Amino acid sequence: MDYLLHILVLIGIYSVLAVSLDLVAGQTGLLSVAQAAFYGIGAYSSAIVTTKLDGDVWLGGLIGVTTAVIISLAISIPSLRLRDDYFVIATFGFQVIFFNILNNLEFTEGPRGIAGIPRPSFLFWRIESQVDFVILAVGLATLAYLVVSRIGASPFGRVLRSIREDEIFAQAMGKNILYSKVVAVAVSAGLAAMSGSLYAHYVGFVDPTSFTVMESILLISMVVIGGAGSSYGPVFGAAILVILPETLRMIGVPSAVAANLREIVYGLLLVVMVMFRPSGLFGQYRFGR
Amino acid sequence: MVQAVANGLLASSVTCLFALGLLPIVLTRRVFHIVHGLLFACAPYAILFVTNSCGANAFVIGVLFAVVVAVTLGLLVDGFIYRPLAKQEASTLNLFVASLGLYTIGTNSLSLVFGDESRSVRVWGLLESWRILGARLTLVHLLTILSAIIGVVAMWALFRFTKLGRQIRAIANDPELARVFGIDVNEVCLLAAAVGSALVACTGILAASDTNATPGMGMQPLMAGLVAVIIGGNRFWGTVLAAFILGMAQHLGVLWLPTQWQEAIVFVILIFVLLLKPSGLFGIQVKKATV
Repeated sequence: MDYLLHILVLIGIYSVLAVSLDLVAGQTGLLSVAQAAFYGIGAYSSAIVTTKLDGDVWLGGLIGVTTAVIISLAISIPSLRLRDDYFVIATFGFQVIFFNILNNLEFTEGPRGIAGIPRPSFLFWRIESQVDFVILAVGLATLAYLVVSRIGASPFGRVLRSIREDEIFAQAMGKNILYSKVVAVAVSAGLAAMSGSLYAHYVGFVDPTSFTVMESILLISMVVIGGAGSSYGPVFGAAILVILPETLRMIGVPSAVAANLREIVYGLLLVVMVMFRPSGLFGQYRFGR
Repeated sequence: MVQAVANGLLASSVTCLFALGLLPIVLTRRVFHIVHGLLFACAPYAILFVTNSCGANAFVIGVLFAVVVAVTLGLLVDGFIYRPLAKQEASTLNLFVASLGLYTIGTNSLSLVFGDESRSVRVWGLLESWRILGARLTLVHLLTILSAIIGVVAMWALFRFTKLGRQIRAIANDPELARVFGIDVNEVCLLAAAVGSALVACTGILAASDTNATPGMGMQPLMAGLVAVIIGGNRFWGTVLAAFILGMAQHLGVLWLPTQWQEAIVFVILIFVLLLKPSGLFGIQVKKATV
């Protein structure tokens, strides 16, 4: 039963990530390979604030989200002024640099990672048991889903989709596309950071290996497979890609092989989906036009 | 200091060769061809496969086998993945994602078969390093730099004097117009993939002869190579110059910055160039249509 609850928490965490990435990649049509980095910013901020600086859980989360948003601005504003392809490369680069920073900086404890992250407690509610975490995870996932779907339903969401479909036409209609894109990326980064904070407090330990390019690719897979452009598609994508490796484990594949096999499955799904069903399982949008 | 320059030259050579192999494929298919990094890693492992089965004397056969493997894989990717996607009018994003997926499959397959530890492809003993102008270089290092020079000349000749080169440039400029003029785009793309893959196989072998082979060894050169192509504005000499700058900057930068930041230098330069001159160092100023 505990195992099932653990899966649910993971699905919750990854749902937030997938849904936030969908805002940028699915709705606005900008592929970002840096989502794991923003995720990591949230996780490490929470970790550092609550362990090294003895801060509040709230503070850690807030700093995480704020840092992620600010850094997203630093990346998005220069690169979005150019072609979208350059944004992809810039996010790719940022993801790599971020991993290097985590791995090499003394402040982030390098490859050792940061351990002993306390369980969160909000005012009166102390989160201790697995069930509590499930409730928190589902709550945050619902929050993220609501944020993204509300944005999607709003006029701003329409602008984002118009950017995805025909950017020049959107500009001709007088929409400030740079501003819209930057805001979308910033919101997405903030949500990812929030998920990172949850992850940090749930696992109690963070290290750089959770925030690599591969993780970003996994998140992209969730969006592509689940369906870009719809809010619930990525949630399904997250669920599928969380449950899949667990099924591999149950078949009894040795763990050394399992990691590689798992990534091969991700890659395979990605290629198959892109080639045969670009809109994903539940998406309305043919990913990549 | 001189050693840093020499190391920089070495890094530039590898990046340059990698980027020049990347160039035909990027020019024709307009994709951030991530699989190139996979082929870079595959080549040394192909040699390993041969030398493990047939003994160390089969090294030369291994080299040939590696090139064949790389070219085959490159052709398969182009023919079975890029071509159908291009037919569907997939955007560069779709192609990139597909390439990324393939890279993931490939590197993990290498891990499964050969393991993650670094393997040596060297069938020779320890090479003596010679002092040249104050820097220590081994035979492999010299070979790499020499290969880069030969590679630059060869690719330049390819692009400038051969029919294939002209066709690649035509497609890079305007694929529709190239078709109108009777150029079989798919065929040229295949040939470009073959040339590029063969080149990257040699690059991978040279690199693995110096430092050992790991499944993920292609990632670093891939970053540098892609950035070189971008900064170079998708132009030949731009790419060569960019590769040179990147290699030198990485190793000269190490004189002042801690070594861990080497990779970051590449991207900092990229962001810098993108901010100042978005079309690349040599790129033609083609303004994206704006209102």
